[in-house]
Amino acid sequence: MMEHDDLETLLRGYRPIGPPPALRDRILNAAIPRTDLRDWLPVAAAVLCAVMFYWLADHERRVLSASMPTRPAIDDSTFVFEEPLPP
Amino acid sequence: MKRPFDDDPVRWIGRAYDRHAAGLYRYALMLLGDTADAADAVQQVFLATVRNSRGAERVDHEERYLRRAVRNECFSALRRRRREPVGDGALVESIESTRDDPELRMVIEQALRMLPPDQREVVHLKVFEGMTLQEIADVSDESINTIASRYRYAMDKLRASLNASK
Repeated sequence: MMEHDDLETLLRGYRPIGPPPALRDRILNAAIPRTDLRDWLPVAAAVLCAVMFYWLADHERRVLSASMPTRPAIDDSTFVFEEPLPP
Repeated sequence: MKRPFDDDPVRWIGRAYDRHAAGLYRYALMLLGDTADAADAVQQVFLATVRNSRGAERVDHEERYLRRAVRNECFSALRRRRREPVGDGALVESIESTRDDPELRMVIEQALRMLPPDQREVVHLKVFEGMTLQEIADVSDESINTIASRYRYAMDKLRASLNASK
């Protein structure tokens, strides 16, 4: 029958196993701050939208200006009054 | 109050790891009974310490702080745990490898695994870390009578397990 002190003495011949050698690097690697590409996705999407809307607006402006009749330049020499001016 | 990692958090982790990780890992292993869970708990504590500046500002005594953090992390993990650890990994090693008796070591491991975590904690701190019952009571915020009872129950169970295996 094992006594209390004998058991303690027996247990003191052992100790819990230590950490695996790779744990140090694992923790250090996890601690290094990294830029996650996913953090930049909303910014990239916003920039893409802005560029796209600018391009569409510009395109629309060009189409409209191309379809409008060009107004002839006003020439003073051909300007005719319908009614004569009062004296 | 000076933060422990005013220079560089990663460098602080490296230094603190070299000083305390072995003891913290052993403590976590004895609480959780699983090597992978113990490694996760130690990693979580180091990372949380550098990420949580409010916690880190309170670091007066690095080892005591980290030990308490590991304890909290392990008991949180035990509460979250839905399964018992597999328990086939090694838990203890012989201090003198020349006198190692693998069969006896397995019996001791099995007996330790059968203890509840709070009793295993007291055995670890008393037997393997050499702390007094009063120091253990301070660490675990329990009365010394509670700690003494846990230790007595744990040793009775260990003795019964070891005697049964003979």
